Formats: sequence, structure tokens, C-alpha cells
Amino acid sequence: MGVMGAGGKNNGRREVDAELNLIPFIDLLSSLILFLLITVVWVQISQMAAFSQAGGETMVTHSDVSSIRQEREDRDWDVLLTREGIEVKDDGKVLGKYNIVDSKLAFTELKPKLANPPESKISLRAANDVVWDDVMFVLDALYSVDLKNVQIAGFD
Amino acid sequence: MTIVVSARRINPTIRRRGGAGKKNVYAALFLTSMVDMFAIMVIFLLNSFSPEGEIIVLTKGFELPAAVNTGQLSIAPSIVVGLEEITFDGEVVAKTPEVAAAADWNIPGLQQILTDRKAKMEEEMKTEGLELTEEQMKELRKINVSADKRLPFETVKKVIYTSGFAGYPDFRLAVVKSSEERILKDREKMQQQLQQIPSQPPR
Repeated sequence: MGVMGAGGKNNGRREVDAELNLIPFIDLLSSLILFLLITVVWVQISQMAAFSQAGGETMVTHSDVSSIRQEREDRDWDVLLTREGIEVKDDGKVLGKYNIVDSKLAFTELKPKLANPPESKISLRAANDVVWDDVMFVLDALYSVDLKNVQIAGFD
Repeated sequence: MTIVVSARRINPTIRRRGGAGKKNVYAALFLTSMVDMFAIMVIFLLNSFSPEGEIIVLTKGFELPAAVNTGQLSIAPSIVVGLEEITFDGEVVAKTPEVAAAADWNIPGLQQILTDRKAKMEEEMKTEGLELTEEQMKELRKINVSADKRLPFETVKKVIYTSGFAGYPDFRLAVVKSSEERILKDREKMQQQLQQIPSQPPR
């Protein structure tokens, strides 16, 4: 693409304007647009992190994940998710029962009861017939109150 | 009612060539506007450009759950749990209805492929004599799981457990970033849809 000087000197000063050759410029823009249109990702997928809470012998024999199993025992809360709603338990003691839609409110209300909320380990246990969307909704509610150390599991 | 034919409007940019009765097919183009438009398009596309490309390729009709508090999805082995089939890095490893119906929590096809991959990675590292740090080891335990939001947890749980057993316990659950209002609205809509399905008890 050629850029040409617009002219010689102007009153003894060098001309700073330049003429742009429009044809290669438009070609370049068109190529860029084509390339970007081909490679564009329209749906930006994000992520939420969680750990598995698998148990049993297979876990014990696998060295990489045995540490996860050890952590399981010293969790702070159990959040039990069923079709009817959520139940938050602390060492077997029920802290409250809420509708799924009110999860965020529930966790906001209960969070002060945790000694060290950012470090707290939460076990999110869902019933088999709960839809995945509900599990993610509750996980999102936990994240929204900064409870991010979550392990996902089924009912034992 | 009479139909009135409007007068012929001629685009001012189209110039007629002569009066031979032939329409001119050439049109003058406003270059300034065109270059402006191109520039806007380039800026918009550059803004939505992702250097990582598509980390997860989802099939048609696949519905990811939505969430507000999300992070950036990174490159990792990817399991996609659809309504029809379960794929690992694009390869079909199991049929979802069969997995849902099975009493066993383990999905043999998926476990085999994950274990093989893990063993291969470890073997490669041993061959190259690489000493991995704790952080790098953590990275190797990561796995992207994209599950259709309409699936029962039982099916996703089986996938999660199988991956955990195979050495991938650190899950990155794929979601679509959304707003709280939108999520609540979508939930209402989905619950209405679920109520229409006879196998799903009313919620």
C-alpha cells in the first residue's frame, strides 16, 4: 500500500499530509473483515470452577486426587439441593431451608455464621432428579457471596 | 380503492449514461462512507475476536446454563454432555440415554479415554524428563465440562465421577455469562417447558 507525500515544501516547512492510495487500503480492510468474520466466536463461553467429591476405593488408590478426598471430611457447610429447594447444614445441624430462587438471599443471610467465609469449604449435594440448571444456579449463588471453594457431589 | 403507482425514484448516485433507453448498471460510491463503515466493522470484529478460538464446540440445540459470576474458560480437555451423546474432545464416548439408564456410576468409554490421555501425558513428561511444579500438576487435573442445562444431575454426576476417578477432579463447568434478571426469566420459561414434558414431575 503506497502512501505518497501530498507535495513538496509548504512555506519552507515540510508537508506532513500524505495521500493514501484508496484501492489497496480498501483491499486491506476487506481482507481484515473477511478474516475476522471467519474467525469470530459469537458465543463467548465462560466457566465456573468446582471440585469433584468422588469417594470410594478408586479415589484412595489414585494419588492425584486423594488430597481432594481428605478435604471432604472438614467441610464447613453441606448445601443439599432437591427439587423442593435447598437445605443448608453445618455439621448435621440445619441452618435453614429455602427455595432455589432464593439461594442468593439465603447464602447472604447465612454467610456471617461462617468463621472464615473465603476459605470455607462448601459441599453442594444435589438429588439425582434435579436439573443441571438448578445446580448451576445454586453454584452461581454461592459464588455471588464469595463462597468459591465448592465441591459438587450427589447424596450419599 | 385505487392503487396509485408512485413516481420512479432515482438514486442520486446513479447517473444515467446517455439517453439510449438503457439503464446504467454502475453506481457511484461514496468512498468516505464506505471506508468509515469498513473501519467500524473492523473495530467491532476486532473487539469480539478471541485469540483462543472456540474452546468448546457445541452441537445445535445444545443449551448451556447461564451464570453471573463467571471466569474465563481456558484450554483443557473438554467433555460435552448433550441430550443425545457424550463427547470427549469431539469424539463420541457414550450415549446419554444409556448412561442415564445405567445403574453403574462409571462410564467405561469415558474413563478409558481419560485414563489413556492422563497416562500418555505423564509418559510424555517422563520421557522429556520434565519436573512439574505443583501449579503445573494442578493444571493437568483441570477438565472442561459442558452439560446441557436440561439434563438431570444424575447424568452429569456420572460424568463428573468418572472424570474424577480418571484423575481430572478439577472441573471447569461451562456456562454462558448472563445477567441476574435474564437468568430468572429463563428459569421461569424452562420450568414451564419442563412441566409440559410428561416424564418430568411438576416443579
